[in-house]
Amino acid sequence: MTGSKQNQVKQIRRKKLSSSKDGMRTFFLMLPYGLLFLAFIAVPIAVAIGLSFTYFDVINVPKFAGLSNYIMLVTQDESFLKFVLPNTLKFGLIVGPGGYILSFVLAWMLSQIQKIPRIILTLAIYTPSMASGVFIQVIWKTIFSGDQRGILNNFLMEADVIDQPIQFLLSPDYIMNIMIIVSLWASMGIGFLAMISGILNVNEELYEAAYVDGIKNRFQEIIYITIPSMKPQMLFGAVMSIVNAFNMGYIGVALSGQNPTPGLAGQLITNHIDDFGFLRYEMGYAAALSVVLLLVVTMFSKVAHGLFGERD
Amino acid sequence: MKKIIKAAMLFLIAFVVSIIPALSASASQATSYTYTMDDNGDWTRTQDAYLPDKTITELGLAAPDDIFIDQYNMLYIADSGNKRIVKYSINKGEIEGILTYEGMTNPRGVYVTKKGDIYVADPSAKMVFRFDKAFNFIESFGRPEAPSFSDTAYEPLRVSVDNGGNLYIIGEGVYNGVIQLAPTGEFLGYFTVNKTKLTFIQALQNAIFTRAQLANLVPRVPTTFSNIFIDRDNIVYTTTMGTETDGIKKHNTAGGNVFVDQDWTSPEMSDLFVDEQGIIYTSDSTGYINIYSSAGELIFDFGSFVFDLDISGLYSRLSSITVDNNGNIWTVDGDKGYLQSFKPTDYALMIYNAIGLYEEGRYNESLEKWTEVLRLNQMSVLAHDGVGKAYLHAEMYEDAMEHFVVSGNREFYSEAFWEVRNTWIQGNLKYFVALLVTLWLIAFFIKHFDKKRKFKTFKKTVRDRLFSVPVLGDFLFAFRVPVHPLDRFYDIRVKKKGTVTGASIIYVLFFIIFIFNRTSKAFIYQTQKIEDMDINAIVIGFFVVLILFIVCNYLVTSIKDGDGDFKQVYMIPAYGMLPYMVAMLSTTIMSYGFTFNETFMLSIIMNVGLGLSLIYIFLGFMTVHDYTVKETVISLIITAVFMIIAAIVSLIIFIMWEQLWSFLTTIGKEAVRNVLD
Repeated sequence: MTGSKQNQVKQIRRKKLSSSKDGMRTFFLMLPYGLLFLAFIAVPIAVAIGLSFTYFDVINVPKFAGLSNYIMLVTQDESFLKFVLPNTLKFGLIVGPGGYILSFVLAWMLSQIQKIPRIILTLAIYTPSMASGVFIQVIWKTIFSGDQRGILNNFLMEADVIDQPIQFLLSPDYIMNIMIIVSLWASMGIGFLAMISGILNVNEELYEAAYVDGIKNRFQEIIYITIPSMKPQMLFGAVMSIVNAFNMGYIGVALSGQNPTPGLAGQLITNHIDDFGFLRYEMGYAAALSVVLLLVVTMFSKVAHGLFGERD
Repeated sequence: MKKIIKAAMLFLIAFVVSIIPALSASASQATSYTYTMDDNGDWTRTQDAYLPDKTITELGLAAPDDIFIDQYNMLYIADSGNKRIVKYSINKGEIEGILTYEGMTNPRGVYVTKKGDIYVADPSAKMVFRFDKAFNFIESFGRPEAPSFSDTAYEPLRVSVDNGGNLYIIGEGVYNGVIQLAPTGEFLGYFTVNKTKLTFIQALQNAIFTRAQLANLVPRVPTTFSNIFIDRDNIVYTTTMGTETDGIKKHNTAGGNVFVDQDWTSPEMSDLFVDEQGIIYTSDSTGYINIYSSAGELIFDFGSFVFDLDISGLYSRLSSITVDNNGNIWTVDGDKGYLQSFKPTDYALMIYNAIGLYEEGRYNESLEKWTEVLRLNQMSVLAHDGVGKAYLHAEMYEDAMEHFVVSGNREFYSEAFWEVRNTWIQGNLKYFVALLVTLWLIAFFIKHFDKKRKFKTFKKTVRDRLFSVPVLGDFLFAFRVPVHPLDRFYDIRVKKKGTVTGASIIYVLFFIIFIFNRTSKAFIYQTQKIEDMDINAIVIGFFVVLILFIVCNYLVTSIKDGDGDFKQVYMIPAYGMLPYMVAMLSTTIMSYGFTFNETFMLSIIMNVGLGLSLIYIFLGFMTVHDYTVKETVISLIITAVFMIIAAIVSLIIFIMWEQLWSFLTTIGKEAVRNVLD
């Protein structure tokens, strides 16, 4: 009886969807968003991909150049292969997963405390990612500065560790690590908020049931209950932190005050794109670099989907 | 390596024998061996760089402390015992003049400017005197009046003057640095400072002691400067006593040190001289002469200490060194009061020449010179380094790599290797892309045309079969642990999966990979040579630590209510170790394709592997013993303490056993002797 009723409902639904009237409705419903998406996302990406096969200096008409931009990328651009690519990978591999794990740990810890301190702390932890540009100027440049403002240098000199101030922000030896520290500090962004809400939304009864079934500690709670019940938020956080990690290029420039960064030590692929696109006006080559960045980000997102995506 | 040395020695002997008729006279002149550093930073003998030339004893010097040669090859000697400055003509071989002055009681340092003005530092008179060419007194620089000089001692030992006429004075007992005076005698400040370097214990004392307690300790004063030299380009060099890492400093205008991480400098450095090319000649008061390149790399070391014998070229107190216009080294022995000169050999000149050509950017010519040096000494690290760098500039990267391996220069090897690898990648990129595309296409077809998922089920059956093969399956079980560690360790706990055989295989594999990782990394990353390793210590250490850990953990957990039995405790580290094994194996193999630019990848892989393994082993113990996190941590800490105690106890037993054994053998020997007699 119930089975046949369900079948009936299904049939009706299928009929409704397939009717042309509803198709039109869906089309018009999608139209505003679709147009916006086309105009501001799909077309620019398509143009960038198109430009990446040309030689374009902003003034003249783009000349078709085939794959030469990509060939140049892997064969002639020594600064890309020697510095930018290893830097980007290092930065991405540490800041991406590192920031992600930090976000989760902090979110989980915050979810264990009372409401009011949690709200205050959440805001405090989230703020750096909103206004990191200002914070970098105010806090980090003061801490690592090599002149009389430098707090870290002052501390080290008082402790007799060094004789002369170290130019942390201008030294190729330090700039990368400082960038990583600053980015980790600023990585509790929107993904972190999503994870807090995800953890708070897990049904309490699940934990109780699990304890009845023999779970003994918080760790098992996390592994068996919390993470599986908040997979969507985990996925969102992962994708956000990957995108974030590959777009933090401005940090090196903001910290050192120079583009390219000293000794190319803090040069990420986004800086390289800036360098070619807006300093040298080689738009074709910059577009090719952007396409490579797009591919890398897509690849890493696929990995995240593999880990946390819904399998059906 | 030994074979190479042997071969080189044989070659050398043959070489020496073949040229003995021609060179027999000069070969016997050297009174000390010349040393240099090999690629490991150990001393190694090399051809004689300098031969003792003139020994001048007839000047009647008493405690001469400092010598200086001006551009006319005139040697000025601060003859402190006789209260005079002796001007000696090297070309004529006779005394040219003697400078005395009534106020001058103990002239210890002498400096002559290009104009011919003579500056004399006198610690007893507490003055620096200035005389003109004809030995007429011009002025004296007494204690600066400036309040910032406060109560610092002013007893000038050495003096040097820059092109602007500023004086740089090394004072006796001055810890603040080099006193810098303007031509008017005004105190400009301390040019550069040696910082006190605290040992860990001293820093700890500083942190916890009271002021009164600190006052009782020996005062911690910075090492003092022993000499100063200003070259023609106004670059200031200083020597410092009592340090083995920065005895020579080349200063920038702010007083900072340009040399960092020097290999070795003598702790008894007494004087230095820098020639036009930038070669640094230093003397050490125990009688050794060290010569460094302008980049601070050691080139030669020769000379020696001798107390009661008079041998030319050996010193009882080598107090000063300088070099004349012909490149001959002049030194003075402060105790015995004689001058000693050295003539550079062709070998030394050739090396200086090659270094100079390289620094001027004439790489091809320097390559020729270095090749000549190599013909004389195949093991010369400097020459191999020079040849490598010349090849690097000539873009002959593979040849450069070969030479950098011999010279042990990993940084430049990495540079050259990067270029070689880049060419290789460019040549083979198309195949790589083709391979990727094919793989992707295959995956695509399987995904879209294999509707019944035959391929997937086939893969699954193969995997399941492999996992159920008796011994192999036990081993392969380790690969399933990282995916769901808690569940798999639970399998071990309820004795469903995992065997002692499987774990033993993993331990053996781990050991093999461990040794492989320690010994077989690529040149860049293999900082310790295989022949310098103590393989026995590694092997015994590895197994002793492992067995000790397993036994101790079992003992500890069995009294701490742990559920796991001995077999399980034995299996957990093995099954948790897979990530670390994979990391070690992959980084060892990857090291052959990596340069220093990508080192971070290796360290990330190693750290992630090690971290994961530790977490897995921790989880494993937690599951098997049915512990909470806290209990696991406590049990592991107790295990560690227990391991240390066990190690100490067994060490004591071992030592006692040795005592007992020697006691028994002595009794035996006594008994045998008494019975037989």
